[in-house]
Amino acid sequence: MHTCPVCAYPKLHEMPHAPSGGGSYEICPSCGFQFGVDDDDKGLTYEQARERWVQGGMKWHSHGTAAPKGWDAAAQITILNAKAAKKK
Amino acid sequence: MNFFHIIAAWWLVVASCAAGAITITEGPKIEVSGSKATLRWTTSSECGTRVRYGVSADKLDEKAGEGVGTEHTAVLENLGRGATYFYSIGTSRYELVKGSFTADGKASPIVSESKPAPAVTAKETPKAITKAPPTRQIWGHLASLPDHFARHGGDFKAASADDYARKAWEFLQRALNEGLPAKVDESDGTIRVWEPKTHTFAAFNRDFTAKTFFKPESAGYFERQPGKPIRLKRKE
Repeated sequence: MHTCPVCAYPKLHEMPHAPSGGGSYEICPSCGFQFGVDDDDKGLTYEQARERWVQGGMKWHSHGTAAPKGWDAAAQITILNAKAAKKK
Repeated sequence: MNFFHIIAAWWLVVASCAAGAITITEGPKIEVSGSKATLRWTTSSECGTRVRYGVSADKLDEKAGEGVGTEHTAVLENLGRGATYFYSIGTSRYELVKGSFTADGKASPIVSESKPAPAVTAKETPKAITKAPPTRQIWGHLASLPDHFARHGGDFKAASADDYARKAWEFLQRALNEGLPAKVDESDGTIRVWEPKTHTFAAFNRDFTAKTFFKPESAGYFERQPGKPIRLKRKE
């Protein structure tokens, strides 16, 4: 399992990008970011996508994958922010 | 032998046919001499040389012709005197034109210009497209399919997630038949396919199940994708 760099959802099916840099084309079930499309085609940065998702109310995106029991979008963002702060 | 065994037998080598639709531009000219007939034709782009023939229009079980080019010659030998032969000209994959001639056994050659049926482009060859296998066999991560359909289904007027997956599979068939531009990413096995004419992109796993299928908005999208350029081709 892999973590989404946009919303910190921890159960991505694939790495967002292959070692070559190519996108996995996976659509994050949590925030809806598609790796290799939203970035490579639309030109969105992770930060821009995150901001957009947060402003949109951090809704579960997927139609095919149900949100895990007790899924907490705000907690994901808190983890992400804590990691970013630690890096600084 | 299941779908994956069949598809695994297809691979990524230099194409025998250039990408794009192939049509016959001249001929076929048929020269009959004794028990031998020589068929000559030219094509709009380089492709393989193949004549299938037989004494029944629905049983073309003999084959002749070899090599790749735009000018093609195939010699049919050991023909029965006075027998009418039906033939289909094309490559080993595509049928371009059908016709017939009679092996009359005369010593002097008879040169005839066959009246070809309307040229069939490789793109339109119905034999190339067969019924898609069930969605679970053609889409890689099945749980993701509704999301890919919701996002990209409109690019192809797909009526449902299954229809969208089927269209991705059909695109792969066309890529294999026509040798569309493709790249293989050796770091994870992803195969990326591009059709410049319709600005269509698809990515497949190494087992040829689909990852995504859409029409990029930005210019140069396929060129930016990593991978080694390959030409997709079905195994002969």
